[in-house]
Amino acid sequence: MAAFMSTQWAQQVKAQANSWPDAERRASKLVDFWDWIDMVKPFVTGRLSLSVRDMPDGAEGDTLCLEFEAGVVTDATVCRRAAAEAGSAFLLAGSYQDWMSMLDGYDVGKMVMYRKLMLEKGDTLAFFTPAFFWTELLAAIQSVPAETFDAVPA
Amino acid sequence: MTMTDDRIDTVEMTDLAGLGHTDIDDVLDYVHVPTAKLPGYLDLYDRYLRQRWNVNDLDFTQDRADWADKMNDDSRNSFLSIASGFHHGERQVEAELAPLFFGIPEDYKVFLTSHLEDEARHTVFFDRFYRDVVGLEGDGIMDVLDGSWGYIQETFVGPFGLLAYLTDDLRRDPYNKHLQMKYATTYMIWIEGVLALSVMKITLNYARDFKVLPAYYTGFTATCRDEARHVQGGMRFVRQLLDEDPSYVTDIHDTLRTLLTMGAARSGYVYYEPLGWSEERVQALFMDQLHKKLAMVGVSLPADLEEMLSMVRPTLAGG
Repeated sequence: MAAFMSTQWAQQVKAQANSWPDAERRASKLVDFWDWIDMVKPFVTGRLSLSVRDMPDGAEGDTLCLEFEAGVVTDATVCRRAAAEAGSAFLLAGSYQDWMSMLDGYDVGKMVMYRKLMLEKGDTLAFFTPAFFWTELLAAIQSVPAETFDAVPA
Repeated sequence: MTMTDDRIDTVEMTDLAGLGHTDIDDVLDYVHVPTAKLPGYLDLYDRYLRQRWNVNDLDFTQDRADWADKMNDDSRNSFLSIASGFHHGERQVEAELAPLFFGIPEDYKVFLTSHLEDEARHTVFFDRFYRDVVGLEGDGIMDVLDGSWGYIQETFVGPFGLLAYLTDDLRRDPYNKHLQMKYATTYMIWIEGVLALSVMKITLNYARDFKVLPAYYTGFTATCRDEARHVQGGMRFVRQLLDEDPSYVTDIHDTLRTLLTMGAARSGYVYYEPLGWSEERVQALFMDQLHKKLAMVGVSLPADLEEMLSMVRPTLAGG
């Protein structure tokens, strides 16, 4: 199992996002929903950064950078927020504790609605136009097993 | 259709018990007034003082019996699919209102205090309904909300997530009138003016026509009358911004473009039929409600938004 916010984890996130959804998830929603996702995908281009505000020392970085081209993740890296932010179309950030809750299965819709992840860079209307593409991305990230920081050697 | 003065008086002056016998369609009609007749903020505050109701005056004993004996699994599930959007929606519009206070006209600030108190009361109303009638348990408001989360549509997070994030934008920059307009379009036009008033009609028509859930009917009809004040106050604010600078209409259109794009998504079916409705009828209701709100502020939709509106899948929620 890869460590949270490691290069290996980022690569697994990339693979998972690009193969999402699996058959079980696809079957759990109407075909209409996936048609809608396909409709908005071509407009999802640029960098989304997902950051941990209070990442404990010792990890590779505090921010997952996903580069999108028409809804496909073309690159996934882990870096420091300061390096990621300038080139990001959108930056979402949350506390380490809330990230751990999400990885532990907390509802991704609530992550947005209760502002466990906040949009700290980017235009809000532009971000929400493909809203369910992002919630599905969070679900894909959530499904990648990760060793939490406590298990990462310092 | 214009309401007659005696029907307006009935809706305006009736007390909580009387609202249990007031036709919900009259209350819904009561929301819509022409731009020139939009009440002032202090008039709306005065109306609040006269119309305020006590959520603890409702007795859900008969509702609990109806829920168990007069409703079947299909109607209970359909009802929960719709009412749960309100259960969560009321909490959201209560929690997201505060940042608007800073940058609005002084008279609106006074009225907004009553709006906020209304939303807290509506949250408690649904909390009581889910505890006393549906049978959910929990130590606090959030426990019961978590209990009904599974019934809401996944697409709920679209408009309500947008509201949460716009609230953050407004908290950071409360005097920015473009942000105020985007916020008011999401909150007062779409969530309160379209989603809420449409969904109220569905569950309240059901309770009225099938003669069930009398305390729910009474409390939610009172909620609807409260929403009429919020929508009218919101429409006055939108109109005021447009009078200051007509180019703010672009913010209304841009916000609706995002809302209507999200509104074309649905992840699961909602079965309206056990409540006497169909999806086509609900869609038509949404379109009608949006056109009525925009007419109140003298704004029309460009052709692309009209087409997007016709593609909207109803999100069954409100606040």
